[in-house]
Amino acid sequence: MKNRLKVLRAERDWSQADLAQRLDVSRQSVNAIEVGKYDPSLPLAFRIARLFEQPIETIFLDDA
Amino acid sequence: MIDPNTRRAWAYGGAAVGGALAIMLLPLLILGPVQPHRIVAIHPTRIVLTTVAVILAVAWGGWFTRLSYRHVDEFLREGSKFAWFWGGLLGIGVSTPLFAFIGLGGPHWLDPTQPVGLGLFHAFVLGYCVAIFPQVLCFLGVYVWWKRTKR
Repeated sequence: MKNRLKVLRAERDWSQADLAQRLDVSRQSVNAIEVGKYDPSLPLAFRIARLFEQPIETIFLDDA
Repeated sequence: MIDPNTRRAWAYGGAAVGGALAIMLLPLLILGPVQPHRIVAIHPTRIVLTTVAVILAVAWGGWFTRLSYRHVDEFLREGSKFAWFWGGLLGIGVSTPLFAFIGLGGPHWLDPTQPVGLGLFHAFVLGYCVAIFPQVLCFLGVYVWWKRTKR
């Protein structure tokens, strides 16, 4: 699944470590999600959406 | 830089392994090492003490592993689940032909000085089953429990 996490993070000038700290996950998690190697769980996707104040579907894009 | 949760998970993981090893070594410190020529008749005190120490070590390791797991985030947990499932299956797959080869006396065929015999065969089969069967049975048990709780 594609996502706009890297763009949203860059807009706020946050490093992966900054974002990981805000989401209470490891930096590896943020990296894996950004490069599309790992799809987050729904609770984590909601945390990401709340943090960026955007609907989930504008952050995570369905491949289908 | 390692985040605090990962650092805590590693610390608890280290405590699990280090503590469990230390507890398992206690009988050796108390009773001394086993003499190789007396290995056929180990004193019951050592058998009971070592078994109790291993039970305590497993309990210690389990407790701290649980604490460690709680501090690992979902991505690393997924990695752990994936590795345990596929790594475990791969391990069983690799061990099966080795089990057949060694059980049928392969080492003796390669090196005739290696011992061979029915007693050795039984001990080897028992050792293999003790290592494999509890894992498979516990896997099935936990899987059934998981499915029941998700209904």
